[in-house]
Amino acid sequence: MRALVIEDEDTLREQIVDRLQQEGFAIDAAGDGNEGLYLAREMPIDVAIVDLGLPGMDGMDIIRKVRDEGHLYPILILTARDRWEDRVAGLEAGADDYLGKPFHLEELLARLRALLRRVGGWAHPVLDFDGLRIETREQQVTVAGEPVSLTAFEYRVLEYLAIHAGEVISKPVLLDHLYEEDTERDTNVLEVFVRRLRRKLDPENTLSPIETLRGRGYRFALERSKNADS
Amino acid sequence: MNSISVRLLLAATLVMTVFIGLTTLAIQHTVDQRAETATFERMQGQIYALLGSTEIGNTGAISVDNADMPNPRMRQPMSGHYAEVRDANMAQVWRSPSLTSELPSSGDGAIGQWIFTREDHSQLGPLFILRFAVEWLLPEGDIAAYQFIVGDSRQDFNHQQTTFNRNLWISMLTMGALLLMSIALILAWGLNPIRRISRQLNQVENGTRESLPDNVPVELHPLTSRINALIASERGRQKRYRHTLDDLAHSLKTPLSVLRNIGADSDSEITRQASRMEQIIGYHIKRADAGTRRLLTPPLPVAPTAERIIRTLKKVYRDRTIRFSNRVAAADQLRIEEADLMELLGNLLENACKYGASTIELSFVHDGLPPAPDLKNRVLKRRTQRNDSDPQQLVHLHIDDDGQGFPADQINDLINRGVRADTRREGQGIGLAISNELVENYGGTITLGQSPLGGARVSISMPAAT
Repeated sequence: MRALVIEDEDTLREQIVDRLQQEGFAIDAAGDGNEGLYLAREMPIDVAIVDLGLPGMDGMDIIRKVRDEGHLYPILILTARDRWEDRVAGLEAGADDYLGKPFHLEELLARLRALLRRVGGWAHPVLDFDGLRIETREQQVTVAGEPVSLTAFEYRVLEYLAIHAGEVISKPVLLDHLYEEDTERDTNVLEVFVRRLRRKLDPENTLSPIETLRGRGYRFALERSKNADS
Repeated sequence: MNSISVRLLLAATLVMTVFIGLTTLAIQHTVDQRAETATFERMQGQIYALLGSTEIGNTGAISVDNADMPNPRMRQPMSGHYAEVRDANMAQVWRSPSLTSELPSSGDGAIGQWIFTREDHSQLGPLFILRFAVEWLLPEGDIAAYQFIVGDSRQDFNHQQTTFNRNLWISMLTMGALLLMSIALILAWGLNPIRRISRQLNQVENGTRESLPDNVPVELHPLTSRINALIASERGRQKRYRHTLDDLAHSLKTPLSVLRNIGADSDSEITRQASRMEQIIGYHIKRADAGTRRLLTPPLPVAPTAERIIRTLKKVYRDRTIRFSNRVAAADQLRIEEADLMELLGNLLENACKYGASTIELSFVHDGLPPAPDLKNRVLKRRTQRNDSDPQQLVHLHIDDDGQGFPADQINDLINRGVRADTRREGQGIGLAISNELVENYGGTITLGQSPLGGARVSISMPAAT
């Protein structure tokens, strides 16, 4: 998952970035409005965290511009101005959630995960498929009731594909959402990771959760459980 | 007596009554005097004429030629005009044919002296009497004294006087009444600018007017311009106050976020102190903001603001299927600033969402009935003074949900600061307390109760925006 953080207070931005990186997010970060708008337009972002009081350009304007240009990724407003007046204005401008300062980083993470799940139409923190279950809060994966141990990177690949279940995700797109800009990318490395992930999830080759579509990318192929909501 | 026009009218009436009374009396007196003088002079003339037509015989007998009477009416009996002549012993020696007896007369007078009196006679009625004593040289050379007396009935005179006086009083009083009426009209016209200003102040208060207009009489201009300055400074002060608070909030909260996240584990002292500071700052900033006195607030339709809040909440809580039912009519208004109404509805509706409601209903009731008919209802705060002294119509905005409702034993504490029914969910206590203070600023109350939907009901009661 690739997250954009626009926050002008350096220490706070670093705290957020550190914490999100620990959680496996790829991060783009900006300390002022203009740089933030540039990143928001150009990067393949999954979720954005935008402070409202920014030098250069107001956060509200960034949100309006981004939405006007048709970007649909969820946006979370982070601000000290937490009157309802501002909250309503922020959400009407196109943001999806609102978090008043000061906040707990855990709260921020929970809200981000909720926003990201919604992209795939998931209401609950548990992604439930036939035969496979991902608990996003605990980052716990179980296959047929048995827990599977994954590395952080493997988990990130699986979560991204599962949230976009049914969609074809090309390798470069997947890499964009997993790696930061300055990281060296190699689709061969990705293929190795996916192969390893398949082995861990489906040692008997009965489930086939991740399909490879030659020349196009990957697709998470499991059906959602009947009792899971959409 | 606490009205300028009543004072002025009372004073004018008093002055006018005294003035008109005294004037009328003076006129009456003068006219009486003149009439009496005229009568005296006329009667004097009659005596002179009588003297001229009197013949004295050698024995001193008096004779007056009937044809030569000073007044022809003296020839008709009881005509009201009489004359007689008396000798030195006061014995009647001649009388006019109109006279059948003696004229009333008291004593004699010095020779050559005019004596003018009013007398009453049993047969002749009220009379003016003029007496004049003369000495005459008789043909023998004796000197004889005579008294010439003329009597005129006072009936006509009295009648005229009465008529005159009545007419005088009627016209003077009419004039007085007309004067008073004109004074009343002048007062109304003169005080009209003041009335207009008070009407315009009402309009400023209910928001249909920004400030008082400039085209007032010069005497009132200092007053209206000061009031305008006051209104402007009050508005400016409110705005500055809010901006200052906003800046303070913003500049404190960001470093607090940093501090809080430095203490990585939530049990560290830094985290604890930071979250205490955060709570204190948050509460006081919100409270100070809510405590800004709201003057001159125009009525605001509730439904559109409610709709915006509901849309916002639907977006935030779209994971949960919460049914919002906004039953506030387009015409339903509250006298409240939009930012405050948002804060109020935002806090209260979000509380309903947080506390597990699946249906939330917003309704608006006009009348003076208590907010809800159930037993658990408790009015938590007294009405403000404004409502006590002036019982006006109330309107109620009910927020009902089908959640878990208020715990009965905590219903009182909930509205007080900082106490939360469920400490895991932040904001409930503060939200309610802030909402309560907000509503109180507008002269309203918040009541907690049980909803017909089975959950909590929060009722906001405020003076109707007429």
